[in-house]
Amino acid sequence: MVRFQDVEVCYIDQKPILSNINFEIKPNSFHFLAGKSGAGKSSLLKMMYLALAPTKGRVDLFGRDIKGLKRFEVSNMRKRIGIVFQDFRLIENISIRENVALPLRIFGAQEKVIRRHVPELLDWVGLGDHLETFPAALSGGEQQRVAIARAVIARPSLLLADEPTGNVDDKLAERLMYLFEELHRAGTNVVVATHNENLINDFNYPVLHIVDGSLISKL
Amino acid sequence: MLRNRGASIFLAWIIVCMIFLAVITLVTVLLTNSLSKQWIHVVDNVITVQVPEADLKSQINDNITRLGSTLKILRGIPGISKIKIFDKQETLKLLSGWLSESALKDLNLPRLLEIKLHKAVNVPRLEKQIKAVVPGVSLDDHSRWKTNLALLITMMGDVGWVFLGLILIVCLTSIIFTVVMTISSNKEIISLIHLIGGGSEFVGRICQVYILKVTAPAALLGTCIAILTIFVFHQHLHNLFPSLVTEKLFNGGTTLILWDWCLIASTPLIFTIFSLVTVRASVLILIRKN
Ligand SMILES: Nc1ncnc2c1ncn2[C@@H]1O[C@H](COP(=O)(O)OP(=O)(O)OP(=O)(O)O)[C@@H](O)[C@H]1O
Ligand SMILES: [Mg+2]
Repeated sequence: MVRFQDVEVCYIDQKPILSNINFEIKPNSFHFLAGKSGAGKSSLLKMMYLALAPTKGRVDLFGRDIKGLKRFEVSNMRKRIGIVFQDFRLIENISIRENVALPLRIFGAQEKVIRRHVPELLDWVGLGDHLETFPAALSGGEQQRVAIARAVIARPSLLLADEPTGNVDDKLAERLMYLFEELHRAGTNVVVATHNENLINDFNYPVLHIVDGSLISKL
Repeated sequence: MLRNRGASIFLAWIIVCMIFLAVITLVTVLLTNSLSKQWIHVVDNVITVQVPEADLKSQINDNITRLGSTLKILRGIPGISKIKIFDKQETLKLLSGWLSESALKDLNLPRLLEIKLHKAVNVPRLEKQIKAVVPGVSLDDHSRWKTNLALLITMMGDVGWVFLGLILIVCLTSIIFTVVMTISSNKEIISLIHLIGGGSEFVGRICQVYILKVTAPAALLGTCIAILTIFVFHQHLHNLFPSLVTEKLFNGGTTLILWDWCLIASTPLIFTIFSLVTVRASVLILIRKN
């Protein structure tokens, strides 16, 4: 599903933030990605959703080297990936219903399907009463849940969640983890980047740990 | 989803004005075309004969004999279906629109005949034939006037099309400008769409919807204002020149026919199709460039 081989990343004119990264995510798996703030968790995820190219090494996604992919191939791969961005990236001038519907629209889903699925999922994340609200009128935690709903609505085969529980209380964090587990059972590969040790301890999944720019797997 | 208030207000105004101009131009071209056909039809197959008053040197001094001789020759020509003789009063009436009464009083008016043909007649030969018997008679088949009118109408038509072309260029350039502005001011949303897997096709589609929401009402408004203006202006023209401008703008054949009106009404539609294609092309090019 995802394979990193001797990957090194550095942003322009800086020393590498990640080097010698080797790991593989097998189909049907659930991983935590852990590390201090600034360790490079978001950067690693960016490579997985094709927003950052490795400076060295090779990244394979869905069995293909990501180097030299054509524009439409990148689009097609991204359609199979759901992303929860650390900064949510909700569109401010449309309602949360429309925000969550966006991936379905990109997929060309029927209006009928959109009208049924979106409220269902928003209900599940506890925002069923806010369908027509705009993102700016929601709290940080609520916005995060909208971002999660948008990432999972199209049933991606790979879910990359960057600090998806960073802005919610423990109880809600647990509930969101159950949602991810449910998706995982339905066949989605999940990678959750977090520095919430409690979460990692409560759920017994393999952890990819970034320490000083290198990866230490704790299985 | 996309947002660019300033550029869309700018675009809306440009489109209202440009479509207004386009419809006015189109109506002018169509109207002159149909009016010219109407006028040419009136003088088609008509020859006007002028029989001047006798002068002292003429062999036939009697005015009545001059007219009679002319008529006698004309009646012997095959192809003439009707001869209308204008008397002094009628001739005066024809000229009263052009000359003042005092000028007309001093004028030595010729007698006028109007001949309707049902078959082509060799006009110069006929003129020679009559002149041999009645000197000073002249025939006019209005061919020069018709040629000039046709030339004028063709020229007006060409200028009209060039004008329409320029208007379209202004519209499409404004649309491209707005698309460029909108894409650059909505970079975040567009990059998000890319990350979710939306390709340039999807971005093109939302840009089309965005531009359509601005241009379609603007084009419709421009067309409505133009048609209203034309009706008011036409009424005014009719009041000024009742003999030249018919009362109705639409009366099945003599002024604007149904087809002309369809063409005018479809202006916003044709424009919208052009604008959608332009939006799509410019989005695809812009995104490919980035
Ligand atoms: N676009 C960028 N340009 C330059 N440096 C960057 C860029 N993005 C991240 N970095 C740097 O790379 C390092 C890793 O950043 P990254 O966002 O991957 O960390 P992180 O593990 O996600 O941190 P956090 O837990 O705070 O989100 C940081 O030192 C950061 O300053
Ligand atoms: Mg991060």
